Amino acid sequence: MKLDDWIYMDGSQLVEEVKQSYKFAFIGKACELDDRSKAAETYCQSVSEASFSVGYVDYSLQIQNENGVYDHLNDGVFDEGEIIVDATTIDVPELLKIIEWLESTKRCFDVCYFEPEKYLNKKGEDESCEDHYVISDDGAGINFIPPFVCSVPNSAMVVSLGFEGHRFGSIIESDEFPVKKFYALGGVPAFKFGMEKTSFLMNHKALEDSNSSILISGANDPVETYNKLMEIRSACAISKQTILLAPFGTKPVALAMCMFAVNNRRKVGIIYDFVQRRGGRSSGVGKAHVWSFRH
Amino acid sequence: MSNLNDLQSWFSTARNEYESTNHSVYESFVVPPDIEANDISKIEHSMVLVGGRGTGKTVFLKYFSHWTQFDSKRTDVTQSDLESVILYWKPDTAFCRALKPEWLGDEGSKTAFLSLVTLEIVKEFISALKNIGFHFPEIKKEIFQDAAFWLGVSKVIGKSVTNESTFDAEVEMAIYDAQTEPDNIANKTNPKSALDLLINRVVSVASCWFSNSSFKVFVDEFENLSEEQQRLFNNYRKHSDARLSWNVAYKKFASISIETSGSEKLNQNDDFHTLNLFDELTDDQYKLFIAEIILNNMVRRGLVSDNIPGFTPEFLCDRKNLEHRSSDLYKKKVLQEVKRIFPQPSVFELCKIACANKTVFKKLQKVFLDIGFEKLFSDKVIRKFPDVAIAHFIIFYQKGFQKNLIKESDKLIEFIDSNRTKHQTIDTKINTYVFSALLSLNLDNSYVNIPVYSGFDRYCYLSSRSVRSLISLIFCTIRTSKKNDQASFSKIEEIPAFTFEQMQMGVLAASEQSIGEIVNFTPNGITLSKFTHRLGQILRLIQSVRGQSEPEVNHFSIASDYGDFSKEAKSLIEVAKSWRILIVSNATKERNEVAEAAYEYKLNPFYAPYFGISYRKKRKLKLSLSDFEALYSADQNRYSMLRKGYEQEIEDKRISDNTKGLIKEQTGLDL
Repeated sequence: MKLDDWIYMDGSQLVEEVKQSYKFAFIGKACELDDRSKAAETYCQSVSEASFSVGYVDYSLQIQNENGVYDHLNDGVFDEGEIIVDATTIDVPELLKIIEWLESTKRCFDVCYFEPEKYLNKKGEDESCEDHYVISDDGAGINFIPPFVCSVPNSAMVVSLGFEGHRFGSIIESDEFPVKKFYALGGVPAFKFGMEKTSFLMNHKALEDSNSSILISGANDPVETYNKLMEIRSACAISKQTILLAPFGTKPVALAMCMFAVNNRRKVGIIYDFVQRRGGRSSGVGKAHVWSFRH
Repeated sequence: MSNLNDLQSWFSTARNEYESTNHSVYESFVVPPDIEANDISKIEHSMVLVGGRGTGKTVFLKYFSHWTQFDSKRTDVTQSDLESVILYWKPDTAFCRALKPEWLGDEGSKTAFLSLVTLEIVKEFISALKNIGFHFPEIKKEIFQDAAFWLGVSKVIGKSVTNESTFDAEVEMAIYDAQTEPDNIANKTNPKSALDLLINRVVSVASCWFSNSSFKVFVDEFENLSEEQQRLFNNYRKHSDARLSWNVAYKKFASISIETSGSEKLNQNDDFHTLNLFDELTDDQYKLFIAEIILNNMVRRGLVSDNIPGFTPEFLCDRKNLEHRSSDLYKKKVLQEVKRIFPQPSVFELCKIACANKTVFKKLQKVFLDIGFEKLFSDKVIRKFPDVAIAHFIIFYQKGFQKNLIKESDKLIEFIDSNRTKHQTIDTKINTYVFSALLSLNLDNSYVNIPVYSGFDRYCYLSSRSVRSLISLIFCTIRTSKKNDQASFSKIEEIPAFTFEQMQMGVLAASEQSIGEIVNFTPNGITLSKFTHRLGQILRLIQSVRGQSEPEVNHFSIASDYGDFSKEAKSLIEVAKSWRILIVSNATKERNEVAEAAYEYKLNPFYAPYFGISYRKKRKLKLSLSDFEALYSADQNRYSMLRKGYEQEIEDKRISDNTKGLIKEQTGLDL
């Protein structure tokens, strides 16, 4: 599976101008979280015949709408028709499982993503004096997303950097991830100028403690990110290390990581911390992207 | 020659277990004084080793494992060492937990897990035989040339193996297959059957060596396995015997299953004994132990000690030297050395340091002038009895003192003039409040930084039996100090002593760093960080109250039965205990108090410097259950209201207009 086409424009333009038609839209459950989530939901619903919400339940993908829950693997409902997946509202585990499913059935599909104008800084919320971004709440903890599992001690870990330094920090602090090597993927250029500085600043302690090698790829560029992962794969092949991905950064980078994992089964693991996204975590609607994936 | 850069790097690896390339801790391990009572190689029962974060569980296990006991550098291995062979296994718990029934099916997940465990434990067993074989080549020859032995190995790992080198290659392949294709396991096996088979063969082939041997498997970080996986191991623990026992190690307060796969449960005392690491050490024993660890970290890297002859890593790692290490002379020398490098100012010295600060001096002058003393007399008190002066920074503002100002000031004058022999209750009062006054002075003014946390003994207290925390303190002290010092040294005696100010800065840096790490404590890091900050801020507010009647408030009780706590409250407390954010003890009943709370909760002393509060367990804050819940509530307003209550209390304790009038009436002073 590979990326075949990519369009991007101002988010409001996409909603107004692009009139592609899909049979199915898969949207996340958190559509009310912020402006861009609502814009993404509106767009997906307007360009598809039917929209479904997806969730990650008991380590499996769950697809449902007002009519009930669907068994996407067996009941044939989604066997034919164009599909669009909204990466804005879908979390990483769902995105990974959708891509895994669609790859296994050799379906072509599009993925859309709406950038925010800005993320919200919740300075001092926990009474600390530091500037920090708390755009998520505690989750279930760091775990693999089966079947994308691999041995930890023999891995090189690739962490994509986001605004919440504690997510990378929790890997360093944990007893469970004594990996051989860390790579940190910084989103440069960022969605907006200056955001890259924030993400490096928020992660500076973890970067120092992990002695990471730092690589950069565009925060909204899954193509370049994928290329960087290929470079890392070549480096790891020499020492027979598996690759362990931690998609804590932007969704386009996570998309590339999911694609890479699906295309490199058995050699790549993905971990996730299942944080709960907070409402009002961002404001405004920035650029919107649509990526087309074909076999 | 070494310098402070080197010293810093020696203390920079706080996670000790990542240091060695194999699991041996020979020459880095300091035998603890209570090792004979806690010799896990001699305990016949199945064991549980429990310890808080950073206390040294893993290093302790590795010491007893074959990696250290049969390290190639040891020259004193005898046949009696074969009576107990300890295998150390740390599972890749993140990977193991991912072997979910929802993915692999019930049988598939069990098969995948047990197959991987078998391979890794068999690999560990063969490593043990190799290490033993280094010291007893004949054993290695007998076993490794036994075809039936390798047949057994082939059976359990599912690959054809005929000798040591084919085993090394094949077991790595088998492990790789098990890790990359857990949904495609061909060889169904389990670690107990595998080890039973191999141990029986080893005992049979080399009976003159192993006839009395017991083999113990220790599983580290047991708490990180899934409940189902813990149950599988519990089956083995339940059926441990003299030949092969199954043992576990986990973090204190971790949630662990005692169920098995069947209907049986594990029973403490019947099925296992629990060892709480270092719990039985007295404070003095622990301080000496820590001092030895610190100095060992230096001698391992080539420094020598003229003052402590024979002080080498081999000396500290050898149990035969325990008696010598308990002698008074040895203890005195070791502690002297460490305390020279990390000297500790007494409370009186801290008061002198404080009074030498112009800002503090002026504040104290004002206090004594307000009491009604002449300036000359005030200055004399401050210079000659700095502790009296400092303590009155709090005492003067107390309601009792204010109400009887003339009487109190007369008593104080007599106390001073008599050189502290009259009115000795004042001495008791000074001792009660002086340290709190030092803390309050630090909080009162951002450019006053009295080094209240400096010194070796205080370092030990702050780290509260976490070796990792203590190493972190020392690292931060060296890091904040080294830019000013280019000294080089080849002996411990030549290491320059750290100043009180350097130690204070180091402690503040370490404390701040550790506070910043709380948010990383998955999975509840955000909640725990919020809770810690809020609690710390409340305690800081209380500490900054002038005229406080309860000094050094740094722990709390919750005025409610534990059974009435909400699920969230209980969960937070358990997680906070597990991460050593809160240290819990049984409630002490105060005079005239009707006991309600069963427990008292103290913020980890390591966080105290960040908030400027006391690290010692002194006075208690009583919280209602609602107040406690406000400390972690997502509702910011709830916490704000709680905080406002304490801020109001501070306002109320400032000298009110009525009190000002009273003072003017009594003394003529216009405040």
